[in-house]
Amino acid sequence: MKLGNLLLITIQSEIYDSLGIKLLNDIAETLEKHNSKGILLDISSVPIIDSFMGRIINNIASISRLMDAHTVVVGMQPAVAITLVELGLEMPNILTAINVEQGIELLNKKITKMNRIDEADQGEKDTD
Amino acid sequence: MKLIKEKKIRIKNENDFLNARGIVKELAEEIGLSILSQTKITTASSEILRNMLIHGNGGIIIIRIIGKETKKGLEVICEDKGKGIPDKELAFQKGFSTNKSLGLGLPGAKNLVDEFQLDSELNKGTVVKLMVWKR
Amino acid sequence: MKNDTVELIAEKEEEILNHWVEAQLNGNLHREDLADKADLLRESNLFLEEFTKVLSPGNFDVTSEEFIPIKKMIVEITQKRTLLGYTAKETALFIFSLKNTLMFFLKSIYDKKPTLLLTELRTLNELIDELGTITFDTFIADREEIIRRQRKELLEASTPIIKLWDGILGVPIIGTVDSQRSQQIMDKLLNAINDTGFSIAIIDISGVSTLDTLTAQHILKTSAAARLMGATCIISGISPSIAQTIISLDIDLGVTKTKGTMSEAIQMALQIINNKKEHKLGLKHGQDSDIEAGKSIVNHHSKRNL
Repeated sequence: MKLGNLLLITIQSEIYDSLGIKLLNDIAETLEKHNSKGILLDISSVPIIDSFMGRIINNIASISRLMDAHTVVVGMQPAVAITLVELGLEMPNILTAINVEQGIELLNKKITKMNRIDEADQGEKDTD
Repeated sequence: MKLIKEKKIRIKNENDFLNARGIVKELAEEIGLSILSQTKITTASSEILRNMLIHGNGGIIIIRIIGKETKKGLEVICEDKGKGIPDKELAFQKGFSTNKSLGLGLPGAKNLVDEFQLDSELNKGTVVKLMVWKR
Repeated sequence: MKNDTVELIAEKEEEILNHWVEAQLNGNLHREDLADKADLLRESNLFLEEFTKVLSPGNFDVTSEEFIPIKKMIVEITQKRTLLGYTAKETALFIFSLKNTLMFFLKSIYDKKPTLLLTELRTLNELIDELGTITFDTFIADREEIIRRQRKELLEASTPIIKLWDGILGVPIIGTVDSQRSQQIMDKLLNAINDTGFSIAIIDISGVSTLDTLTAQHILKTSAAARLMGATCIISGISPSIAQTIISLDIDLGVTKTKGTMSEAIQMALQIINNKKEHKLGLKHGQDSDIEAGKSIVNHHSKRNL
């Protein structure tokens, strides 16, 4: 079993539109370059997330999924979380963790699981 | 009702947008709103401002601190001279969008504030008023 | 009111005071256990002084400016008496009892003119009634203030966030939950998650008598917000009647986990935590180098400040 590589991205300021789109492109490129299997998106110092920014986060998760990697959103502030729920943006498909440590744990678990499934697939093919 | 403070900003590009959002947050803090309420009004303003940039080719935002009896409130008015909203009912439906966005902007913003008012005239423009009170 | 009346009361102020105090002492209006005679005399004197000051032939409008000092004094007397333990009735009677004394003195000058006596008495009666009811208003306002303060304290005290275990927060909700309180619980819990880094919260509602749609929605919103922050909410103690409410109100519980009792919820929470730990241990065996490798890349990229 091989442990995948992780990518930690810390967003330190407010994200605005063009920066959000740039971030999306950067992440996709970096994922490919390092063959990372997991992304930690640390947003603990982001004070505002509106629906556009929510969409960017959703897209990061979707793109990473397509590139065989998991995204965990880490450290969302309570006020931001309530605001997103009130906005109707519950992001059910996004993995979340309270802090970076728990985020790494969650990612490792996901990657292990994924590898096991891959191995199982491999096993079945071998017996064929 | 009396006007305590007023700021007016012209919104033409993303920088103005960020600046305006910052001022909303600043004034929300000034009247002593909780962090949650600050976040809510700033997020709601953000949704409306973005609509204004995309659909209204920019416009004007007026941010006011208002006193009523013993309480204080923050009013955010966004005005544009854009194409207006053709079907207001449709615009408030969750998930409706004209540009592949999530379609949560208008209904979401309405959820986040105490008072919400939208006036729109086709091909003339749109005015959105948001209001929160300090409890 | 006739000038004669005003003059009479001003002239005979001292006699009136003595008569009034005497009447209060005889009529059992004085609470010996709470105050002594000197206090009563002082209060009565103060009131009568102010009362003679505001008396004038024309003005009986208690909302007018002239009446502000006497009203203020009545409020002060009431508050002082309430603190001492006087009932609202006793304080009101203190002021109302002045009527009898005044009637006694008015009789002496209007003896031959019964109609005039009647009108004068009526005016005085109305005036004293108005002033007497201020004691009630003050009493009630003070009580309301106490209730409001206690309610606030209760609200704060009644939603404790307990650290149940390492990694598990407990929120027992007891009593009636209105939307203001559920909002407060929501805030408090999410902040506690943020402060402690605990990833599981058990919201126990077995002590909640009734659950309305709004409250249920608040709890579910809390749960959704907690998930966005990376924590799991387990709701325990859903009674049969509340379960029926949830069904009949057509509330979607969504991804929220529910358990019948608090103990089952704790069990579940421990399982979740153990799963995490086992995994951690499992990884540690023979894979340390891989973790190191993983971490180094993490560090490398953490330098990216976007």
